[in-house]
Amino acid sequence: MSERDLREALDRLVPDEEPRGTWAGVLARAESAKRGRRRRRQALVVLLAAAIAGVVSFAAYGTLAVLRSDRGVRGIPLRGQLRTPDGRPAGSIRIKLIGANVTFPGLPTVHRFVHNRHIPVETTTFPARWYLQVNGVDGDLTSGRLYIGRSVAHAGSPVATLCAPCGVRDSGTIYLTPKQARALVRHQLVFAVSTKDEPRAAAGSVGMLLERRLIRRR
Amino acid sequence: MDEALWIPTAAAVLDERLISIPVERDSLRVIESIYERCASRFLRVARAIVDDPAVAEDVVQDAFAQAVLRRGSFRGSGAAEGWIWRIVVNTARSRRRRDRIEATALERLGTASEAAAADDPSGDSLRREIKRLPERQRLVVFLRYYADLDYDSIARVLAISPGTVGKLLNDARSRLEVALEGRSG
Repeated sequence: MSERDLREALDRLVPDEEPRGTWAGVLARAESAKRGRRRRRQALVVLLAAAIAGVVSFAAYGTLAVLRSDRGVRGIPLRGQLRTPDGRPAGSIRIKLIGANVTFPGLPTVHRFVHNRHIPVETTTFPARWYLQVNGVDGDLTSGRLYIGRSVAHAGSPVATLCAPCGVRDSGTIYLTPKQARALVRHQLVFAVSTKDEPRAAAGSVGMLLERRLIRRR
Repeated sequence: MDEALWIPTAAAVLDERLISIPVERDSLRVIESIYERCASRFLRVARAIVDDPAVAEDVVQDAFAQAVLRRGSFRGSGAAEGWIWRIVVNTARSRRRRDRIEATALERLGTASEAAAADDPSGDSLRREIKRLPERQRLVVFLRYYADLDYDSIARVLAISPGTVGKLLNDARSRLEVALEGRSG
């Protein structure tokens, strides 16, 4: 059987016909598909905008920081209960010195983990995540600072500003020098939030949380 | 003329200057020109793939609409016509796949249309043999005999080597010839 026979047989199977569709039909279809695509894109943009707005509003209330767990992050947890000048509870400050450990006996000394993915070895600062929650304080919180001092009554000059202005639920990361980090674990720092009228509207001494699971014998 | 398609038959001779124009440049005019001149060949290949004249019309229109919408994404690395062939073949294949899934679902429900059965005359050994061919062999046959494309052009449309096109075509021919001889004998 020749090539021509095969071609003729195939031609009979699917004869050559003129299309009924026109170029105008193609353009109409393209336009319709474009409109559909545009509608889908608009819906996507609206969804995206809603998602961003949601994230922003969550973040505004410090909710994201609360949702974000730092349990898996190695470091030293510290905590301070805040009180108003008249002694009422006014929230708390939590700080985690990331990538650090403390050695005893004697005065605690801060070291960096030798193999730590959170901070490079050559780093001379200690990153610290902080989470602030304030309640029962009147007025806007203008700043939140760490002060030198073993107690609120003896708090001296500020050594680090965590936020200015602060939200009632706020969080962030600061970088402390080894000296500041050491002071922190030795209970030598006080945290206080200020309002326009009250420089220490709520304050509390910050100290290490010594949990059994965090303590290891060498 | 390295990248442009070379069409061997007189009926399908294209304006080489025109099809060598990258789609980005005056792209809509080029696509329209290809449609006006070659729509019947596209339709024929689409019909061979989907095995339904009405669906084939739809496929060609859809494929060209896609080409119009996506003309900005064509990089001009080959001829515009080759690019459109790819769209047409892929659209037809997707449509065929979708229709098959629908047909299978209908069969399971016991509501397969009688029209579908009538479209498939079991007595036609050539048609039956074509349906039995592996998909790549079948596409090569359609592009060679219905679109009149040469080996290089088919290779570009199906993203395979020209040598593979030759082998696929040879294998397909052997099987189809057996079917034809059986019918005539």
